[in-house]
Amino acid sequence: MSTEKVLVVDDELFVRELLEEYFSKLKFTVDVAESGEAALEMVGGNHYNVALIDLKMTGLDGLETLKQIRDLDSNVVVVLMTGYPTVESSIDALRAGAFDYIVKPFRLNELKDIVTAAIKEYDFRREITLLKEKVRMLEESIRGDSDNPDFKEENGGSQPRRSRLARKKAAT
Amino acid sequence: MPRILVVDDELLIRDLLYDFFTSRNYDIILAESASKALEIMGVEEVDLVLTDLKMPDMDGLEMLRRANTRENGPPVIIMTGFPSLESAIEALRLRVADYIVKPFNINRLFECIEAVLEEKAPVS
Repeated sequence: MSTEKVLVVDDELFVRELLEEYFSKLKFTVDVAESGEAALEMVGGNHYNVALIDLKMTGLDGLETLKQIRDLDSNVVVVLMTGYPTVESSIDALRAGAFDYIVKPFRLNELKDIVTAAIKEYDFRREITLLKEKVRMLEESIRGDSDNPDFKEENGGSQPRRSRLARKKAAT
Repeated sequence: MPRILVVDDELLIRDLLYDFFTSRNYDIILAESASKALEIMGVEEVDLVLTDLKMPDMDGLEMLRRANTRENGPPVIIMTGFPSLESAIEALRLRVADYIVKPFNINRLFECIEAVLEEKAPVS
């Protein structure tokens, strides 16, 4: 069974129910939120692969929800959905790093293809995050070693270099 | 010195951007058409592509698809005097870094470019 998690954020009950049923049948784990604020509470404790967010919602709108979700978990891939598309909001979505911008009404198959691509993007982002973490840990470890006087000696540090025998003597 | 490929069929825009950015220590390569830009991208390494959308030989988005900038290319900023929902969504799907509507404030464009290049820079 797939473990991919999708979060649906829409203030319309009909859309939430439709997408929950559709993606559950496709073996995704689906959570729903009726507002941007509710979505933010859910993102903190869950690792979603994809968030499908309505653009026009009362309270926190879709763009602001996207930005705050990315602050909480930068790997979540966000797809914006809207029944009121405009050039301005699509440019804002581009700048905010939305993965896609889909105009309602849409075909469910179309959304399924977007979610499938979004999951690949999630896997890619996750891999990059893990690699960056490894690099950071390696750098920290090198920095830690370089603070160690023995490391400085062995790597041409500021202290005068001593022979291996002299270091051995000093250690005993 | 950051190297930017500027793609625009309007000489005035190319000249304006060339003067502005070379005076700020950028290395600017100019292309007057999308096909010329594709040739350049095939042989030159650039840090960023700044492109017009509507050009006689090829649409700027088609150029980006052919150059496969989404998967394997430098960041891209689009500038257009004819913004549309379709092109903005397509630009988003091609992972374009910014979409700027002409006429634009050149200092604002400069800020965008600096921000994109900073984001692209490897983590130190």
